[in-house]
Amino acid sequence: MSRFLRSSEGSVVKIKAEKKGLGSLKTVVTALLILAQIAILFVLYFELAQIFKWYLLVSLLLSCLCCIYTLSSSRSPSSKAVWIFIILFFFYIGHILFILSDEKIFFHRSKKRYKKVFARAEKYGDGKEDSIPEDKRCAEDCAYLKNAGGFKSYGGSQMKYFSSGGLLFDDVLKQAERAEQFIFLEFFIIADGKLFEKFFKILAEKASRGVTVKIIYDDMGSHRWLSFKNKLRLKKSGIQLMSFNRLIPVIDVGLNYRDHRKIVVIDGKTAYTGGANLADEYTNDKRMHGYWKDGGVRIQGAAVDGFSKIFLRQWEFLTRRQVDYNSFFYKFENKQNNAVCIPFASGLDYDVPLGKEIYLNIMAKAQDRLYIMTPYFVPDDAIFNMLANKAVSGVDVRIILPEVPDKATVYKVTINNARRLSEYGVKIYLMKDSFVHSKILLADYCSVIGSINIDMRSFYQQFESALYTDDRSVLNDVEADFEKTFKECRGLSERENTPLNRVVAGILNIVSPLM
Amino acid sequence: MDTMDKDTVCVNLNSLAAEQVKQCYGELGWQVCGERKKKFNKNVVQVKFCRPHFINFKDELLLLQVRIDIEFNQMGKIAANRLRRSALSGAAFGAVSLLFFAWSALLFTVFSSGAASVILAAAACLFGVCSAVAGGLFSYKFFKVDTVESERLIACNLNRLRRLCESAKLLRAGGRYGCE
Repeated sequence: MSRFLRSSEGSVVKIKAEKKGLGSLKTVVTALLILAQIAILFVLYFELAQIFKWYLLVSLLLSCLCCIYTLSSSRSPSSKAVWIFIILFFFYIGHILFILSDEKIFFHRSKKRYKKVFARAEKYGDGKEDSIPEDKRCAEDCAYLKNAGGFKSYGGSQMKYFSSGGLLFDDVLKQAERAEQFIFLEFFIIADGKLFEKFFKILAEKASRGVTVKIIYDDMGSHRWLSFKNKLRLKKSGIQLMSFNRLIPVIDVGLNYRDHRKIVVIDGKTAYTGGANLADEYTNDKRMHGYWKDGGVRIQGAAVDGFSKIFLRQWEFLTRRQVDYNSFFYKFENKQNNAVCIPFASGLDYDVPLGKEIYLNIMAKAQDRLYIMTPYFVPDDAIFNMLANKAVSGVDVRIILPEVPDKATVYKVTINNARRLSEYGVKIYLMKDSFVHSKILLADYCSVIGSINIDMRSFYQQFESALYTDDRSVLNDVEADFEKTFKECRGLSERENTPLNRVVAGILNIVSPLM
Repeated sequence: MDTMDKDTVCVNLNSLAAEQVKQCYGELGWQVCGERKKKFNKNVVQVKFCRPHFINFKDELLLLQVRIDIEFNQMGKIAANRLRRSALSGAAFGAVSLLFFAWSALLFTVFSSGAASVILAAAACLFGVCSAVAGGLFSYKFFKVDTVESERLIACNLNRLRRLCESAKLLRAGGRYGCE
């Protein structure tokens, strides 16, 4: 007979939870204040509509103008369709909703400032020549990243892939201990906890010895997790701290634009990027959604300058103070490694959604295989159709998704999209008892490892970072990680395909271009 | 570095399962570093485990640990829900029979108006007794069936748990154990 009785917590084993702090309270207060502003705006709006009787005609006219503007814009077709539906369905206020959401209106001044920062940064050459790969497909990708984003393709760099956040951060800490000149950190989430304390100990000690330590964190990503007390500790230790896009309780579509990058640069000699943020769940020191699967890559060599530049441009934008890029570039001897290594970034500071376009370019040229690891799968039509066509054409297309979700609504859309793709022969794998947070694309000739999810937010609204490489040892390591992970996965089952799930996913699909 | 030497995890365990959990965690490389009973809940014991930060196959062991925790919690849920059906059916039939008894009592006393009310009252009383007997029988049946089923499910869970612990043991034995 069973010896197990129910404990008061309702479970046999329960990991002791850490304190949450006041972060949740701040989120709730901010959300309530914004809702209150929206309510006030709507009340004022409807009062105005009652006073001016011809307002109905004016609002209809304005809504039509917004529809024409949307149709002529460069948005994706599905996004255009959703917006036109919203504007016309809510024609009374549709034009207001549209204007409040259009980044061309609200991001205009920031984009001008970014262009100035970029133009100044271009004057600082790192003195390294572009590496030209032999593979024609790789050469095309290099040309694209160069022409569309100004990203140099570096040769002579050594790279190492890490198949978990724990392994990645162990290496970061080891390298940070040896820092002598500067340490840059840029993360979406920096959270209190064991990992933070390990970093703080090293960074504070380095800062006290004169090492320049700069940290950028996203305010929305970190506000629930990084306490005011720890922010103060960082500043008092001589560490320079900047928050990206402060979360303020005022209606602003700009609240949606987040810095999702994960970059570490140490002395201009070593850099890291990947999917893991600076928080305990990424190293599985804190249990949030089952086992947390993540990954990242270390770069040593000339290519580190690429990440230094990405970080410093963001730093210059945030501080509004000019940066001397030359003092952070490192002179490398050209070691014999012909592999291409391109650190690149994407975001609203660029004219095209670079993350999505480079993914699309790689998918189009893949001939044998396309392996993807992503926590969310909300692609636009272009990516969806490309993957479907590739699978039908005989390319081995496999996607690893989490079995344990962190956001229920996005997960339903993810599974629905995965199920639709599986009908074209794409193999879908759900990693059992795990949340897959890695963002990796592996083709037969190259790989992209970084922070770019396959969803609309990563493509169109967030600032991302990643590494493009054709290094054979990295490709082999990534492939080995995929093969190992496939064994821990299961396929889609009927429990994901219930009528209720299909109905909910169908409704959410309508607004997925906005997700 | 001191901060990198040891990993720790603090776990609240059901006291009846504590020894088995400690054993399984031991296969994962964890050692008990501290233990105390919760003040206001005698069923729960808080155990602190620790192990070296650098161990081989750490990520594989972490995944096994998640699965082991899931198996234990599933067993707890099965055991907790074992009596649910029999309790619910007993309560439902008991409520119905109480209603009949109450109606019968009312018919005998307050609403008494001749032979008809006496017959109705007697009938209500009889229905009450039948409900109580039926409730007892159904509860007993559900109890028997659910006990057998829960034992079977828990046996399956224990089997899976055993395999997970063996996998952990093989993993730790397979490579060099200790600090890298």
